[in-house]
Amino acid sequence: MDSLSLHSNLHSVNNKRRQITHQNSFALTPSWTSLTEQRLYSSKLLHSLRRNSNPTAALEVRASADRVLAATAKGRTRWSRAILSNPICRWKQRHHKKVKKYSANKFMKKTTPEIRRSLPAVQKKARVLGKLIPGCRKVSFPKLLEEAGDYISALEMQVRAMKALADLLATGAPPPAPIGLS
Amino acid sequence: MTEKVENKRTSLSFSLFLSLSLFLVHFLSLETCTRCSESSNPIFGNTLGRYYSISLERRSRSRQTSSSRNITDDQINDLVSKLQQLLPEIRDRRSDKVSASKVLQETCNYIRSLHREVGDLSERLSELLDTTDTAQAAIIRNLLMQ
Repeated sequence: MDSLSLHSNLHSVNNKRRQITHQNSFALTPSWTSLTEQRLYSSKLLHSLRRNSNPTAALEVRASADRVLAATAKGRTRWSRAILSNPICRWKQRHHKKVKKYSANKFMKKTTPEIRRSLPAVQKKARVLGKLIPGCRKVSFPKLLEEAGDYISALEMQVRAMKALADLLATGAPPPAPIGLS
Repeated sequence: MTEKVENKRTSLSFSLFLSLSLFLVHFLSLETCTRCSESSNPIFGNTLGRYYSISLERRSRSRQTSSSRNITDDQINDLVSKLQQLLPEIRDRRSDKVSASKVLQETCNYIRSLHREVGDLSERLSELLDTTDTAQAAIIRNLLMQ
């Protein structure tokens, strides 16, 4: 009965929201602005990149960066689960998808122009947004907005971490003696 | 002999009570789950008992639909405003009322620019990693974990 009463209490408290699960999952999402999270991400990314054989391709770096980012999110959001579950690098897929999309557009223009015209602007842009965020093509509009907010914060952290890592690699590590002294 | 008979009776009654309580828990959990899946009206939820709520919720679905639409609109407006604060271009004009379509457009543009930036950084890191040796990487990792 305790679990039931707790469940009903949660239901009454979050009465405006339909789904409790994603409310809880978003509450547990790590804060992308903390420096600790950024350092942890940088260390994991460097470790992941070192596993690869030399020389490392840019696409592999990007794929590793995305996978480590999704792992940092710990699968609590839809976009991170989509990245972790997809073994193929999505940036390679992008080229193929462009070709398909082009032919699909031609087909759409010829046969059904009315459907395309009648789409409102918000729905059109929501569709485009759904394609940009991994795993969010067939998601409801409120869910898409939540995923977009979290994805943007994660991407910003990723950019900061990769910049810091590149600067460290470019300047070269300091000699080991001062570290030994301190 | 009488003690044994009494023990059997108590065990039987206990098992019956246990099965009945399990059945009740199962029934109540089903009710709660159905209530969660649909957005129930708070007024109905408070006034009516649990046993009548399922049938009455089915009858009053038209009211729930309109109320859920209002709730969803408020929720969407809240999410759009939160998303607006994340975007660098629209963030500064809080006084102006920006349309949802504009916010979505800027969101798409911003995500694309972040993707481009990650791509450039990936290329840069790829070049730098080829010139860095393993010992240097270990030192950098130690620096990062400080």
